[in-house]
Amino acid sequence: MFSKDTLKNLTHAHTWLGLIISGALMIIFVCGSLSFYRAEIHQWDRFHNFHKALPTEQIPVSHVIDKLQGLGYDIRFNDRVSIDLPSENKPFYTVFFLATQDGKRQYVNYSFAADDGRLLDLDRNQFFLADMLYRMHYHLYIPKIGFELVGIITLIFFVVLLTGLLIHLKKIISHYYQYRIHKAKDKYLDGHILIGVTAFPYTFMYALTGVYFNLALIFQAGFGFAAFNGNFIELDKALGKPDEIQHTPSGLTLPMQQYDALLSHIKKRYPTHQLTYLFSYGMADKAAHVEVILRQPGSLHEYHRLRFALDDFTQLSGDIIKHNPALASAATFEALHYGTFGGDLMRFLMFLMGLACCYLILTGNLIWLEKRAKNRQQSKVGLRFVSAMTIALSSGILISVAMCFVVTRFLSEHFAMQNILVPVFHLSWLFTMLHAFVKNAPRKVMVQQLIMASLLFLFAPAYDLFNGMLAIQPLLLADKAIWWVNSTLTAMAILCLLIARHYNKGTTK
Amino acid sequence: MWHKTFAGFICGLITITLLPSSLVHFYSDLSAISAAFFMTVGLTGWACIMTYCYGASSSKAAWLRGLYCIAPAMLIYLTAFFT
Repeated sequence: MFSKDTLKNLTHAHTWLGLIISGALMIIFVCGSLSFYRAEIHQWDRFHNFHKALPTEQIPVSHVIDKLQGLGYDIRFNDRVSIDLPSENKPFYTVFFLATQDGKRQYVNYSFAADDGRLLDLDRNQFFLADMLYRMHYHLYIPKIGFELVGIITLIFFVVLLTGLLIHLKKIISHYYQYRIHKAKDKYLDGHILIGVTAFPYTFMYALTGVYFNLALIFQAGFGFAAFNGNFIELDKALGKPDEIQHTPSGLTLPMQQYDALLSHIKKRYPTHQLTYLFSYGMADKAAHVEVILRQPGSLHEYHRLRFALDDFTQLSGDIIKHNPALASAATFEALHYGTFGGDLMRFLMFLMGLACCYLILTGNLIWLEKRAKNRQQSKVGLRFVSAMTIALSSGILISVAMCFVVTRFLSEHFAMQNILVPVFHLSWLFTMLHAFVKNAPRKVMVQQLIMASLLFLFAPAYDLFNGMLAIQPLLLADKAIWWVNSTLTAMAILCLLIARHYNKGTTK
Repeated sequence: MWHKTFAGFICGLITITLLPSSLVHFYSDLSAISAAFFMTVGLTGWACIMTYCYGASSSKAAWLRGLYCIAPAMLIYLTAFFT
């Protein structure tokens, strides 16, 4: 099908590109897989010391806006005030807005109880683990260039997938059923191919949607110049973006109950949808606009954003059905990437496929390291450093993530999580690099680090189980979100142990 | 390797930008479909062109492969732009 030269070049590209991006890709995939349970991790973190239950009688949203105005912040007319409405998973109101504090404009957040509207002592920044994992996933916590960098890494990952597919295309079926357990080198390669081919449809989808999310700006700019001669308003129309609505304050005030009336109007109009967010532009002014996000669980186009005039409930933008092909494609990409359309089972499958990519990275790196060690012309110190770096950025990342979970569960009352989680993450993988450099035995080091990661991943579920069973904190056993997170952590621990066992056999032989 | 990367990245981006843009110039009513086409098929095409350039045996051959992709796309775009 391909000439020997082409196959050699593709293999060369597959190896080197895979190796170069493996560290960043490992962070992206481990953090991304866990981010499928982002909302649950928030609950796992937040409700450790907090009893939650959605009250049957809830205060209306107007009550919360009243309370917010009572706090005395100077909110500009066109600035957005976001209200996260109560749900089973988060049974209270959370409000975010931009305000001037100490001469600086910054975001402020408050939480209000859903039953009586009292102010809750829940600082969003203290429950930082889920946000940190998500940010690591999409911009590696690198300011300014991180987002685009992840886009380019994802594009290269896409190329690595295609080169891998082309290399094995001729024998894709025969190699798929071949798993040689007696030869260590072949066993890793066979495992790499087996998991690579099985997970291909998912990895392809992750790569395509990931490139779309992170490099959208580059190709939209190019498309805007080439197709619309630089007229970006036309481009926005083609992409189905709603026109920017300019409105000015009228100076007249509406009663706050207008918000409650608008929400009941929306609920009547869209009875099968859940109201999740409300954004107010102009608070109680007669000219104020209200934007809502409606959720239709189980649908491929799960979220819909609609805008209304607060005064007479006229719908100003948004449509429940995505008529625009570009908008519909983008919504489909989002649903596919987040895996929200197929229920809990689908989401768990997507999580497992994310972990399958981690397995591909681990096996790929190990194959390369062992091959490289046989090259006698290679400088020993250079090889030792590269080997330590590669191991730290593969199995070390698993330890870093596990450490963040342990720190969050056991030290959240003593430290501000927003300040310490990122340093803990980086210090952990630096220690694993030091460990790999001192030991200088790639496979053995990887086995030890995987066992370590597995034990760390098991800490929090074991603690929750112990506390729940002894009825110290019965909620830890009763809450679905906490179960999901502890199950995913246990799955990660089992995966680490299985890979460690698999490598350890090769080491002893 | 660097040459192959740049050849694939630049030539791929130009090709996938010019082809759907030509469609917009030919039929302005199809701009929304063309944007959707750009997102779905175009991005996959970008990765395919990069892969095609990595398959080349030298840097020069990689740029040449990139040019093979750009040339017809450019020709179609210029035709669409001036008609």
